[in-house]
Amino acid sequence: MMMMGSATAGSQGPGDGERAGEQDGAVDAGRINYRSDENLVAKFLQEFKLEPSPHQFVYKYQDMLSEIANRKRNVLEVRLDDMVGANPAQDALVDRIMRNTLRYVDIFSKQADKLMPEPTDPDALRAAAEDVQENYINEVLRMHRVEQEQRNQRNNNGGGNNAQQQMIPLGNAAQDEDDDDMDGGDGADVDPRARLPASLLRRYEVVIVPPRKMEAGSLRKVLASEIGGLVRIRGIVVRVSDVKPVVQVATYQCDECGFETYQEVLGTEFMPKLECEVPVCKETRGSKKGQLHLQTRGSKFVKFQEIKIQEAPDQVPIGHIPRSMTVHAKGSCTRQCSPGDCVEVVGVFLPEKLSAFRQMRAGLIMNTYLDCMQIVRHKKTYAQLGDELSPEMEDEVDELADDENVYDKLARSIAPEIFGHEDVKKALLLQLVSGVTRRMNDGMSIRGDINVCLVGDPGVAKSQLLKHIASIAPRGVYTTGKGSSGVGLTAAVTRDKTTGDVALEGGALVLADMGICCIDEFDKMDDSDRTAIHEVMEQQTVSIAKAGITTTLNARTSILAAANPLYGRYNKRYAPAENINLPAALLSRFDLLFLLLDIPDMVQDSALAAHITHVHRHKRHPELDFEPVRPALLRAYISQARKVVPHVPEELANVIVEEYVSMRQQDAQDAREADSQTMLTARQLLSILRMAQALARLRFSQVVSQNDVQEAIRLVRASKISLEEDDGAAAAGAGNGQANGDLLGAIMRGIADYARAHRATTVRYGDIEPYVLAKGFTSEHLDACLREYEACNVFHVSADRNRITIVNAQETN
Amino acid sequence: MDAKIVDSPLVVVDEHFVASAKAKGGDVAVLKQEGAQDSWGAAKILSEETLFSKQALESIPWLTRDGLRAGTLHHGMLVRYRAMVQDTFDPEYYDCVVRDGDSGSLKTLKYREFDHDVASNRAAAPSAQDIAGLSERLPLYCVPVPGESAWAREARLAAGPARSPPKASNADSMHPAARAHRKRVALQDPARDDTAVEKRPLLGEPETSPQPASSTAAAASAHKLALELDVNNVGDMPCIVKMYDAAMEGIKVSQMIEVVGVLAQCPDSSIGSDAESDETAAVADDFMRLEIAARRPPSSLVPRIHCIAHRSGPTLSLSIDASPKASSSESTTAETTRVREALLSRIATAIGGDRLAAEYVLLWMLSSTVRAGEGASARPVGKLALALAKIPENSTIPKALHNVLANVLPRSHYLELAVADLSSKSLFPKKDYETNRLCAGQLQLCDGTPIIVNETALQEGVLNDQGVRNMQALQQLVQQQKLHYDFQYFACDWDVDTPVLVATSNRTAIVEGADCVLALEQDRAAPTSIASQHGGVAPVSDQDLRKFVADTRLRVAGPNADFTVSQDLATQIEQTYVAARQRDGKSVKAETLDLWLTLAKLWEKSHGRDELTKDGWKAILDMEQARSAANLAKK
Repeated sequence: MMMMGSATAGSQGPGDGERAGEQDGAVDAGRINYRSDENLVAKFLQEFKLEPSPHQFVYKYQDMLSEIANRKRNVLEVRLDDMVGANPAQDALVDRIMRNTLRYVDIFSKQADKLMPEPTDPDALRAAAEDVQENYINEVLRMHRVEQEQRNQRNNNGGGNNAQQQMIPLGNAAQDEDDDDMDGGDGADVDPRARLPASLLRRYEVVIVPPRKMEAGSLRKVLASEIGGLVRIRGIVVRVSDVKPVVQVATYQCDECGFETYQEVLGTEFMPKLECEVPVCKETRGSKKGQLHLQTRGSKFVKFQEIKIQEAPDQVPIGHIPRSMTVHAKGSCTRQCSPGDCVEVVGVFLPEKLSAFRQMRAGLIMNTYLDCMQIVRHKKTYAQLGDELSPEMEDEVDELADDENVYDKLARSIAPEIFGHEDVKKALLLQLVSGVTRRMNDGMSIRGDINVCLVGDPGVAKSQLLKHIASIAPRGVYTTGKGSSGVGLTAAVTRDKTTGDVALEGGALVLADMGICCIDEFDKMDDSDRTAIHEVMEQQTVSIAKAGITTTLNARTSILAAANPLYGRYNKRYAPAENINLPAALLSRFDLLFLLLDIPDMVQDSALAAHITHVHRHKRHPELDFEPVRPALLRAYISQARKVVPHVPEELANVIVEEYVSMRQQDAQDAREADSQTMLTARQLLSILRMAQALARLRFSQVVSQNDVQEAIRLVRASKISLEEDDGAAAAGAGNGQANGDLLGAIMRGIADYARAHRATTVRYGDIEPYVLAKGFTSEHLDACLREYEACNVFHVSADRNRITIVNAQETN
Repeated sequence: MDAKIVDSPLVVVDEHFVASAKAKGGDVAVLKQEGAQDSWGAAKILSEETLFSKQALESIPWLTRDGLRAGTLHHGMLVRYRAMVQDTFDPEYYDCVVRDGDSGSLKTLKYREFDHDVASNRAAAPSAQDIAGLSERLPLYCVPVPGESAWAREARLAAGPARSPPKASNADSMHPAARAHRKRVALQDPARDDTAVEKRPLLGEPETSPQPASSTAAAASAHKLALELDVNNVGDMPCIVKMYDAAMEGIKVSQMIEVVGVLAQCPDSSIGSDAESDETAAVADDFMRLEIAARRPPSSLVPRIHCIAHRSGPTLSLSIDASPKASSSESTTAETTRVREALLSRIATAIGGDRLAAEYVLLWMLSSTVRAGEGASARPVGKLALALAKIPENSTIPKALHNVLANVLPRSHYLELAVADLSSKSLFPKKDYETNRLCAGQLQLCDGTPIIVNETALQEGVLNDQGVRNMQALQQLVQQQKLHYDFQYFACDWDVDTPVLVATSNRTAIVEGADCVLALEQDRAAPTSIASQHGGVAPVSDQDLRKFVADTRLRVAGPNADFTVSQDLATQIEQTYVAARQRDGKSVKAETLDLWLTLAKLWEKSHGRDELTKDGWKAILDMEQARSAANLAKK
């Protein structure tokens, strides 16, 4: 801050702030009357009250002061919010405080000193008696009192104001020269305490918190015009220094006359005093002056830490280097943050004062720093900060929620530049929203996270999907199974370079706690990570036993994995586990397993070709046939949806149970026919429930509806079909290409089966639709099928399209 | 341009300031504002138009090491400097309006590093008036343009003022303080001569010792921090360019800029030279010392330029400086074809006579990536990452190819991969918070700088964490044309435009991401449809080749670049693609069509056309067919 040259020491009060303030005053309102401001401040501290309940007043600042007196508090936190709006004079004062903060910190301190009540708490008194520094000071004061009395008798002159203030016999310390009309300059009847620098006796610090409406700005916006003013900035801590004591008041004792001399230090550098300047000493010893010795016991030290903060990534224009700033934290502001934390810092932007010598070399450039008033550390990491929604965003989310097709719309907005894959996108949307995690009374929890695995040929945009999800997810982490860094997926034990301490560093799974972990190249994972994944997907924790550290970390994360088939291409004759080279136990933990294949398809291909040609011709994307929801809104919508906790109503529970039982029987039968193992297990039932919950969340509904369950079943089916059946249907299931003929035939057979099962030749459209959807088809497919086969005279559809009659049911049978 | 202005431009600024101060009665706020607007009117004389006019080009000298050493450049004169912005520092606060200590009159320190009178009269604590007169400027750490070809540099210097013989007494021209400093340095440490600096290999030393073992080691390394010199470019030096007012905005890192500004060589501004390090350590504590040392290197090694005018953008980075002698005749189509053939032959010779590969290399070196769309869904268009496979191990082909390219491209970079190097140093830029500097990596290049990555010398070995990250960064560059910037607490992947050619013997992960892989073959002819009559090619000068490359690149990526595809042809293209998918859905993918279109565009551009023709489309399909046939045969 400032270098205390022996000639100027102590004569400057709050230093630059004061001077800058004078300048400001000169510009707008002549000279600022600090006297009246002092009165305003005193009045505010005394009279400000809160009314927590009618007719019951709490004098906030008076209470604070008595707490300070009783040693229960050491920060006087002045909220400017409390000052705003009371009266115009006070509002103007707030303005001045914001522009010239340090000056007012000083005024607040002085007024608080005056208003400080006597300690009442016996504990505080006892503590005071045991305080070494206090005792020392009291002893000194006693001596001074004796000395003072003697001197008063000798010499009854008042007002030694213009002499050097830090010397007890003459000055009255800590009074500013520009308002020296207060308290009288008469040394005779002044409390000896006042002769010590006030900061030596203060056991509290004044912190001024700017109004809440002042938003945390970017470092980039803090410019020369802000010097001396109070700013609030947001950033990431990149470095912190050790906490060191820094001297605030240096106390010296003369080895000849025994007098104390005080020196108030306002900056990081000071020039120690060497020679006693007390007149008594001068008088008696003549030219040979007494030597001063620093008394650490009587000096006041505060904790001091330097912090380097840097702009948060979102504040940096693309392609620019983030700016940084040094923050000086003192007292209570120290040890508040560590590198990597996201913080909001309130402080005074000040130029650094350099000694003349250093200044010569610094080339007249002012170094600046932020004198910290308050550091608020965000508990969340940077990635989570986006969760708090602005009112406009909330409105947009509400508007979107009113849209009937919100499910489709949101699903299509996931990676809109990737063609097709509609069911996969729907599944990913549900994964983002996730089901409800339930914690049982016995401590067991049922996970609500939905795990999805994408298997497919290289080059079907799997990685792109994963990266996109990682960017939308509230806490998304993208990593690859192979070649990930030393920390890997779980956690690593690292040794701090400077302190040598052992510390745990979380891996991708731990970082994605309460979010989504996107793992590319899942099949190429290390064995150690593979075992960890088992635990994560079932227990949702990561256990560490490394370097003497045994602990369990939370990893409540959904997993989105992408894997390549073992033999380059997926072979349907083998089970998924054999194709993907992962144990079946692990695969079964995925709620949905989609197979993405790249199959040539005329329609799809020419659409794609048109798209690419368009991009090359016009250097921009063609207009989409729908307006994708922008990622920020999507993210906001998802975070809102995740707050809903839907439940399954009783009657629906019965339906699900029935459905499950019949599906399982059907499945077992199919399995016998197809000579493969049963696919539908209890795990799938949980999956269906989770997805149904996610669907209800998307509607912001507290209740899971039957449609939700149907859609969930349809998705599970679709994912199965993509694995089992022949190419055409697989593609249909994954929303990929459409081999329409086969597809419609399959639906037709399905309807016929349904009719046979119900021993009817006429079925209702309303009955058939959920049945067809559950098989992984869409209503469009159903409609297309009806049109097609009506034309072939296989079906007869009633005019209101409600009843479907199978024309030659006997034949089909 | 008036020689006087070139010699002492600050006289102009001062005159205007004094006049303005008189008129405004010394109102600091008004003066500050006027300074930000137009430097009190001095900007009319020192305007961008005048400083970048042809006439100014011939009178304002380039900043070169030779010029500094010979004494033709001196403190306070106008210089021209072209560089890449390697790092941006935090803004610094200088006295825009300040009261002179002795006379009490107002003066400005804009475009100045130091003022003795002000400094010696400055009180320890700045007064309110000092603070009111403060304004900010933005220092940019600039390095000589990486990969600048020797001929391009020569052409640049040749276009500037004739290099005059050194003055008889060069010491007189220096700032008195600078002179004193130089003497002191010379006495104390003869090794710390400029030649010692030149010998430093490119990124040879790790830029920061990872953990400063002791304070002395840290102080010693502080010196190296300042010296991120490019060995390709020993004649130029890094520089701290200080931007004022409106120019503070909009300059991005890794951008190529050309500035005209006031040269300031003021040793007093530097902290951290060896002589002072002990004392620095005593006063500044450890927390800031390294940063101060890194950000304020001695100005004898890293001069300061106070920028008055600057320019940047594709026109600057793609065009070449025509030497005054070069003819500026309009090139005809026939001429273009002739020069193109000659260039093709040269490339073919360098890579062992493979005409087909030469064709691909030619198109590759002209390619440029733009982005379609914005934000996360932006996709690179026009990207062409080429991989030449099956090159014998430790072959000289990649180097020979680079030599040919460096002879025609104004900038190019050659990167030879070795396991030891990959594991020891970062290829991508990385923020070091100890020194608060962005440490350069070899991949930090200006846009429009093609890179040849030579993998043929890559031996088997184990990559450590750094090595893996380097490979990932390379892969990302190849796949997406994005460069990874590591800021420790978060990472940025920024779009770049540096085409990559990978020369490889065995395919590695990097090659997998390439758009176009071609196995190299000895003496292979090109398909007949694209092979033209290269029998009797008249000799073509380097000059013509360079002009051809520069013109074509401007045509591809310049500000007025345009390319049309008729609707008919677009439909035909779509049909071709769908048919190809039907034939071979496994190898023909969306990326294939991307590649075809990119190649077709470059093909037409290299023939001097801005429109896709049927012949061009057919030629590309033939080339692609030949390529896939060759690759199949090799497998």
